[in-house]
Amino acid sequence: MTALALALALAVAPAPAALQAVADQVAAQGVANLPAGPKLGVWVQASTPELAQAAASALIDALHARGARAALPIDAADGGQAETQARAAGLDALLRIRVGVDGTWLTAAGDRIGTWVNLWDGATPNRQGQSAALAARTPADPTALALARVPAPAPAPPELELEALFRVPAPVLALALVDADGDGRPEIAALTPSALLILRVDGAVLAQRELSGLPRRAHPVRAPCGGLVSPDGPRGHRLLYATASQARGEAVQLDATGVHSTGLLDGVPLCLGPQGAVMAQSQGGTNVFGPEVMLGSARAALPRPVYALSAAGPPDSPQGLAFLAQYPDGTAQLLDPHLAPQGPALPAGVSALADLGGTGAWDQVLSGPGPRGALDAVRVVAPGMTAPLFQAAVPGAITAMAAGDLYGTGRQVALLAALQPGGDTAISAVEVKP
Amino acid sequence: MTGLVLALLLAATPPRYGGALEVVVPGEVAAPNPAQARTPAALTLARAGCLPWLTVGPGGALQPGLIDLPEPSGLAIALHLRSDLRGAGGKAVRGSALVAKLGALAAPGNPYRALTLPLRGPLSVSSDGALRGGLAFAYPDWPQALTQAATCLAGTGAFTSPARSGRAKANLACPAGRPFADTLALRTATARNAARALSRGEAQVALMALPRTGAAVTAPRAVATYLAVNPRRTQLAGVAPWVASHLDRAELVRIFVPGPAEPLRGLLAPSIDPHPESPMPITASLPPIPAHLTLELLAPAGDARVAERLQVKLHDLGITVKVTALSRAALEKRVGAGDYDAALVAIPALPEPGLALAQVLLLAQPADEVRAELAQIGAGPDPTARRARALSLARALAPTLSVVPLYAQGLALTVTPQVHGLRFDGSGALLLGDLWLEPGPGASAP
Repeated sequence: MTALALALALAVAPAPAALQAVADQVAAQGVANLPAGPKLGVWVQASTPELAQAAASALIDALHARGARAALPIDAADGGQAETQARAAGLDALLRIRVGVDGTWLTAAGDRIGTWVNLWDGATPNRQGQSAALAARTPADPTALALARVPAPAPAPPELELEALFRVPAPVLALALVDADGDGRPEIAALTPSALLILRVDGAVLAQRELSGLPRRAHPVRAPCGGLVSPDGPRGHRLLYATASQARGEAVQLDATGVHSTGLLDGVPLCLGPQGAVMAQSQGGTNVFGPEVMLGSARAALPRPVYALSAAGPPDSPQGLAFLAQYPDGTAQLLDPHLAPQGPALPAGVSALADLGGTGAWDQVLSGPGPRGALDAVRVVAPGMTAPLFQAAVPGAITAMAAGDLYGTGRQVALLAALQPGGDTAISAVEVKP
Repeated sequence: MTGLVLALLLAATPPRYGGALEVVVPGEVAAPNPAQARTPAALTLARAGCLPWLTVGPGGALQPGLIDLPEPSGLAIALHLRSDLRGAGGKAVRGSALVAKLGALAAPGNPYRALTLPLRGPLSVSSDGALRGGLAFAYPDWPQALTQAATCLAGTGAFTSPARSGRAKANLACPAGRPFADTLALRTATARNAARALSRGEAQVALMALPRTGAAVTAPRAVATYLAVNPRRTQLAGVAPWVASHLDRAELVRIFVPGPAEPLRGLLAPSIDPHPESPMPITASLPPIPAHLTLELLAPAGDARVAERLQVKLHDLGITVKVTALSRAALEKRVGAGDYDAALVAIPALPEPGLALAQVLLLAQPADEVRAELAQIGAGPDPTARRARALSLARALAPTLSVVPLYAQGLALTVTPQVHGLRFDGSGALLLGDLWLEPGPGASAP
């Protein structure tokens, strides 16, 4: 029986791990020249908190194995604090160790200081006992390497909130940001079934252009739909827009005096791609666009026809361009710059890409997945995640979204247009809490 | 927007095109001539195949229909046909067809005759194709009434007219845009079979109230029924006030009126005036009724139970009633000719308070008198004041007329949760072209 147990132990006992080996060396040095059964504190620093905790635990085990009567981890910000805490805890000595991976070696180095408090010293702090330098190293194993290289946890996601801005007395088909008055700050452009509105953040109408001047389509679309793109970005002064009920769209230039036509468009602009606006035609009198689209002068095809397409940031952004396609089956999917699908399609009614944290990471802003009466929802999903970073109920039904740096803070906000039961539209923004 | 009742069901996804809309109806599968439809269900089926002169957008604003939005131009009328207008069989629609349509409504006894009262004369088609004419007096809200289904022209609606099988296809040339569904399939069924079809997913809409099946939808009560007593038969002068004060309308509605209905307490349908003051109780000053009075009550065949109930009630008052069942067309013809004692008249309200009131007043007053009242309502630039004048005139005139408001009916409707985009026009008709279906699980993308 004993033989069997021994054989089993020999068969399964792994080679001592690097961490245990280093801890054993440090423990041997740490208890040397101390009276038997010392009470010891252990304070360990390391490149990662995980390595520090694992090393402290291994060292405490090793100290117990070498006859320490007590071995306690000390949690302190620096060595001085650790010493004070060890004194307060009535320990005999404190081991202060830094553990790290140096090339292929796991190293531990530090010192041992006496922390026994002599009652006769009274209030005068006095370090008693013999100190010692401690040092050990051993070849690092995968466990030690993994502990030393735990990636730093991502910074806490920004806290988001939904802020109501103003109301527009009509359904809104599309939103965009554009500097309409040349003051360097973006205004909000909203496309309604009958007009293009330029609004300040407080809801004041700066300019309005009726669509009745554009040629009407022979077969209009029952579900009003359209596209609105700011081809030079939120600080530009141009807009492209079209609705599916008009035969032609329009390119306009904006300045403090109003909206000036610069030409007519043959398709509906969906979003801003690497070669300018992505244009498409609606299918047979419906609110569905594509799959054929024009990327500048090049023809391209979407994986499927879409209700809408949004693009992440300027085409020259270091993250590269990404598209978010919103499909008629109630899902949204990321596409790469060549319009190839990336990742799974997430349930969404209306969607947009927005760099809400200002970190260069494009969050997906998605509306509720299906028809749900008078209450919609918005949720923000960080890249590569499926659990939402933020979600909130939105009264009404979200019909359009846009993203841009509305306040000049370097962070984007996501603008939402939510149709209300009375027929007007509430504009609100998802943004980082101030 | 005054007088327009809209039910807007919001959806968080854009409307989806495609699919077959299966509708179960209680009666004959036919899209009747909209000008002859007198029930909410008939108006709904008629409206699926045709478009009125003007339409109402989801926000309540007037939108082009067969004609472009008219510019306000005082007493002159200039209406421009939509340039791309195609009617039944893809034929171009001529202005003369619209003029004829309006002219047909002007016949005495037609419940839509009030629509033509503000006109100085018939419209004519000018050389540029516009319909021109003039108003006899200022009536700025006249275009609102052009959204009534009665002005519809066949072949212009969301769906083609149903084939013998009851199937209609999407009309791709509809000036309001092709409908969301690809096909509309109508079939008749009993309530029991309709409930089964809805629960099995074989149909999505039933034009009937089916408790415990799908969602019941409250439609605007836009079709009002009146007991009209001939004002020129002086011996009958006491009948209307006696009926008005002795009839339990709530009981009448609860037991004898089919479908969703409510007692009519004022002259105007609840879709126009939802909160009328209840009529003043008339007790002391009722005119005497001659002894041994006998009258003939004209009633449409479908309203026989209501007519019989009135017969019983009038018998209690000492009046002998002979009920004559007629087709609605024959009934309206006799009422128009003044050849009646009393009649049960159903009026689908025009979606404008003044003209809706005029529809009722024409049963009791000469046309010239009604015109004068309309001129009084239509004067002034403030739309709210005009509406208020129409409603207060309705209240003031109610006790003096030989017309007894009985009840108002709305569309009986049950839908499955898959159906979205429920919207009614000012006539209380469900817009079948606006309905769209949420794809069920496993449905393929278009």
